[in-house]
Amino acid sequence: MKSTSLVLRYVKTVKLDIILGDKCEILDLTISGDFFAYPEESIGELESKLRKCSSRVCIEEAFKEISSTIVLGVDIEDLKSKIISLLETCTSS
Amino acid sequence: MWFLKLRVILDLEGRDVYWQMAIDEALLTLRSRGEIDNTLRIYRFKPSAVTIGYFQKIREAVNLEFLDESGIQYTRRITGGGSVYHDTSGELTYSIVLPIRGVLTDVLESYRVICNSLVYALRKLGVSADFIPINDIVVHGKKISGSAQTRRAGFLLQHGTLMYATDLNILEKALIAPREKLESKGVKSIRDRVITLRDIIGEVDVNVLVEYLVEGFSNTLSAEIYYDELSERELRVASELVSKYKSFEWVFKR
Repeated sequence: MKSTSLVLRYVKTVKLDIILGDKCEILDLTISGDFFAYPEESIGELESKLRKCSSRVCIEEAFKEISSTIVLGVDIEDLKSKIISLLETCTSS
Repeated sequence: MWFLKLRVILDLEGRDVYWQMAIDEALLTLRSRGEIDNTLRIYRFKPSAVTIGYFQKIREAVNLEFLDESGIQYTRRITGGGSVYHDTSGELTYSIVLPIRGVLTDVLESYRVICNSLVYALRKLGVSADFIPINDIVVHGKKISGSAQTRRAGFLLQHGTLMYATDLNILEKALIAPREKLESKGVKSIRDRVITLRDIIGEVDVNVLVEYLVEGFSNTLSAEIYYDELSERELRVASELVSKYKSFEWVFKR
C-alpha cells in the first residue's frame, strides 16, 4: 500500500490524497481544497468512481461522467493527468 | 438586467454560526420552492466563528486547537471556497437568494454581478475596490471580501464577507493557508494577504456601511427593495437544519 499527497495550485488550491494498493489499484482518494463545483455532489461521486480504478481507461471514464459539472478554480484536465500519472508510475515501478 | 423585487433582512444583533448557515440554506430551499421572495440578508455571527468551504479538510483549513481553546465555533458551509473568520465586531456577512436567469446564468458572471454590489458600497465610501475573479474583492491588492455560491433547482445562494475591522491577529491564528497558496499570492502569511476597511479609512459607521451595501445590491441588480423580518416558517425550516451544522458528520466530513 502506498499513500501520496499532492498540493496542486491552480486559480484555487487542490489537495489530492491517494492510497494505492499492492496492485496499484486506487484504494482511497480525496480531492479537497478551496475550489468550487456545480453541483458540489459530483466531486464526491467522482471520488467514489475513482476509488475502483486501476487503469487509465477507468480514470478517464470517471472524469467523463462529470463532464457536465462546472468546476471553477481547477484545471480538471491537469488533475486527471496527475492521477493517471500517479497510477502509471506505480504500475511501472 | 431585469427588474426584480428584493426583500432585505437585517440581522445585526447576530446569531451563532450554526443558525446563520441554517438560515441561509433554509432561504435557498424555500426560494427554490417558490415559497419566499428573492431575499438579501445582511448579518453578523455572534459569537465570532469560522466557516470552511464544502470541499475543505477541516484539519487542514483551520487551527482546531486554537479554535477550541478560544471558544470559537466552526462549521462547514454548503458552498465551496476557503475558510473564513467571522469577527462579531469587525465583519459583516451578506447572503442572497436569486433565480438563475439572465446575467446570473453563467456562474463566473454571476459572481461578478453580485460582488459588484459590494464594490459599489466600498467605492461609495471612497475605497478603490476591485472584483477579482473568481470570488474576491481586493483593495490595494489585498483581500477585503470573499464570496461563495451554491446552486439548486434553478436558484442560487451566494454569501460573502466584508471585513471592516476584523481582528487580523485572531484571523491569522484561526485559519491555515497552504504554503503553495501563499507563495502564489506573493505573501508570507494570511495576514499579509488581507485588509480591513479600518486599515484604509479608519473607523467605519456600520449603519452607513449597511445602507451602502443595500444600495449597492439594489443598483447592481436593478432591484426594488423592501425590508422584512424572517418568518416563523423560515425559522422553523432553519431550526431543522441547525443540528446538521453542529454535527461531527457534517463538520468533519472531510
